[in-house]
Amino acid sequence: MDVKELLVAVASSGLATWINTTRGAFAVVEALHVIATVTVFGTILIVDLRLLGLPTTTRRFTAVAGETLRWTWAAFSLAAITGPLLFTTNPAFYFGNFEFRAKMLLLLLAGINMAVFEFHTIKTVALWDIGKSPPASAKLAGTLSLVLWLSVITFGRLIGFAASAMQDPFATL
Amino acid sequence: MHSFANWLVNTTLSVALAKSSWVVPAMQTTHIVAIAILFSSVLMVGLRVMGWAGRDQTLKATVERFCPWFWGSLVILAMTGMILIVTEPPRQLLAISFWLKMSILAIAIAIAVLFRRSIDRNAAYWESAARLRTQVFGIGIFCVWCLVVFLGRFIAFDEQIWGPFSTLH
Repeated sequence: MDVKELLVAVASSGLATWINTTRGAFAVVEALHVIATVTVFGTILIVDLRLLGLPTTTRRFTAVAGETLRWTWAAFSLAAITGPLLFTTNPAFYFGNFEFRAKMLLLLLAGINMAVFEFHTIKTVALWDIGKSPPASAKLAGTLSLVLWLSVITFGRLIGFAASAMQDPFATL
Repeated sequence: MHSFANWLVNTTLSVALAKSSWVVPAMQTTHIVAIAILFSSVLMVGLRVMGWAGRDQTLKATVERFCPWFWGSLVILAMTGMILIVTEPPRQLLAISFWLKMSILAIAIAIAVLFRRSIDRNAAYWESAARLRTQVFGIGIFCVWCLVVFLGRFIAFDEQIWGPFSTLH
């Protein structure tokens, strides 16, 4: 099965048909995706700013990250369910869409940035957990995270504009 | 409202904004980023009220920590929201989703103001309030703001969501 056949199969699946034909289903899934997205970005912003030492370093980084990131993951799980559901409603369009591809690439980069931080940079956290300006590597991780997630949101919103402007969803294949 | 929307859509400002290809996506993206800040501030304060996060800090300190973010993002939301209304008046002003959103938003802001006053007057009350009360409050404010987001997204799907009740006819 090549990509085109796979996309056609997804488009004609029961799930896709249900979302496409049930009144309000797409809007509800999209609203849930927005709630998931804003929670992911908002909670990550709290951690990113703390990585930059902003606004203060008076609370332990590990305390701030610990209480916040579990909600980031909960929200990311919701986004990872609702996102693919939205994808099924018009797979050929999304697959060929530049904004969608850019968003997926940016998500991957945000994931790599997070992995480098979690497996490498965090090792020295005891030295800067509280009352000290975090090291350059931590500040870089925070800055990259901010820029990447802002870009993810921007391209995510642009997908909607590309979708309403499209004529033939299969033209891009 | 129809005549107001029709007047607004023909103003020089509205015509100029609508011509631009970037104003709507840029304002919507900024709007979403501001929602992220506001929504997460509400979430973290709600979690603290429920005792699920930040118990190393007092409730008053938590509220004071998130208050500037809450009000700052609300100002950005009001500004970007108004630009979006001026750019596409009928899409917003004639949609029942928009007016429902504004109604729930007014309630949500009123709750925030009253809660802040209550914290300033008697934070100890909230620190020691019965578990049921704090859970209802924390989950309640989260649901109210979720409803605001839902109704905001529904503006684009007004007729599909509300059917005969949609005011977009």
